[in-house]
Amino acid sequence: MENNMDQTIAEMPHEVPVQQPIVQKPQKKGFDLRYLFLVLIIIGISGGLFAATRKPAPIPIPTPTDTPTPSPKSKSLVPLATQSAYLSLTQSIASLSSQIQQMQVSDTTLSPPTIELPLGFPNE
Amino acid sequence: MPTVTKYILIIVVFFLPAAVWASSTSAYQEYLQEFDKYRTVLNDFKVARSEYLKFKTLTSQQTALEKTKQMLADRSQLLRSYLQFLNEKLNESKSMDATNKALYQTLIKNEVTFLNNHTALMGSIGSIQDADGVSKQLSSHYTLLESSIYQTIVGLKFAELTALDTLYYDLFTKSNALIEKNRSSYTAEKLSILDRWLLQIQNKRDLFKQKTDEITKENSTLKSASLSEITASYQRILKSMSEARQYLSEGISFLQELTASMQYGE
Repeated sequence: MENNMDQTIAEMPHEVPVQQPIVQKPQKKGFDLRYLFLVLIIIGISGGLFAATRKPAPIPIPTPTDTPTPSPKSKSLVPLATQSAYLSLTQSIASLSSQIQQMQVSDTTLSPPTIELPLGFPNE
Repeated sequence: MPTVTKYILIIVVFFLPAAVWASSTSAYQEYLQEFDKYRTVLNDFKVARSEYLKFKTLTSQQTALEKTKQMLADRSQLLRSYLQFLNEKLNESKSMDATNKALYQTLIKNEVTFLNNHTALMGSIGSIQDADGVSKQLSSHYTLLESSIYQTIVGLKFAELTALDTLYYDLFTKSNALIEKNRSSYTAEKLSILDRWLLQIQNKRDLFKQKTDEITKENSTLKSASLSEITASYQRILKSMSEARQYLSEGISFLQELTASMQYGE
C-alpha cells in the first residue's frame, strides 16, 4: 500500500512556472508644458488688463455723526468737603508731605573730617 | 544825634535775625576754611617728613619738627571748628527737645575740653619723639571722639524724624476725628473704604515706630572699641533712618488719598 502511494505521487505532474506575456502599453504622446506656460501667461496678461481697465468701486465716505459720549457720574460732595476744618487738614497734609520729601537723612555737610592720625616717624 | 540812633536801631533790628540764623552757616564756612588750611599744612608736613627720613640731616629734622607741630595744631583746630559747627546745629535744631540737646552739647563740650588740653601740650614739644607722643594722645582718644560725633549727628537727624512723625500722627488723628464726626454723611460701603485707609495709615506708623526703636538701640551701642565698628554701626543707623522716612512718606500719601476720598459720600 505504501508503494502505491509512492507511485501516485511520482505520477503526479510537476507544476511548471508559466512566464507571463509582457504587454507593451502604447506610448502616449506627452503633454507639452510649453502650452501650459503660454496659457498661464495669456491668463495673467488678460487678468492684468481687466484689472487696469476696471473702474474702481467708489469708497463710501463716512459722514461724521454725533456719537453718545459717556459723561462722568457726578458724585455728590459731602458737607464736610467745604468746611474749613477739612480744607485746613488737606493743606497741612500737603505741607507735611513736602517736608518729608525735603528731609535728608544723610547730610554730607555733617560728615566729620578725615584726619591723619599716625605721624609716620619710625620709633627711634 | 537821635536820628543817627534811630538808624542804628533799625539796622540792628533788621540784621540781628539774619546773624542768628546764619550762626551754623558761618560756623560751617569757618570749618571749611580750617579744612583747607589743614590740607595745605598736612602736605607741607608730608614733604618735610619724607625729606627728614631720606637725608636725616639736622636741618631736615628741624624743618620736620616745625611742620609736625604746625600740623598737630591745625589738626586740633580743625576738629574744634567742626565740633563748634555741630554745636551750632544743635542750637538751631527746633525739633530736638531740651534734654537731648543738653546731653549732646555736654558730649561736645567734653571733647572741646580734651582738644584744648591737647593743644596746650604742643608748646612743650621739643623733639619729634615728643610730637609723636602728643599725637598718640589724640589717636588713643579718637574712637571716643568719633563716637560722640556720630551720636550727635544721629541725634540731630532722629529729632527731625520724630518731629515729622508727631505731625503725621496729629494729622492722622484729625482725619479720624473728622470721619467720626461726619459718619452719617457716608454710605456703609464708603465707610468701610475709609476705615481701610485709616488702618493702612496706622500700619505705616507702626512700621515707623519699629524702625525708630531699632535706631535708638543701635545709637546706644555706638560706643564701640574700634573706628570701623562705629562707622559700620553708623551706616546701619542711616539705612534704618532712610527706611523710617520712607514709611512716613508712604503714610502721608495714604493720608492724601484718604482726604481725597473723604469728599464724597459714596
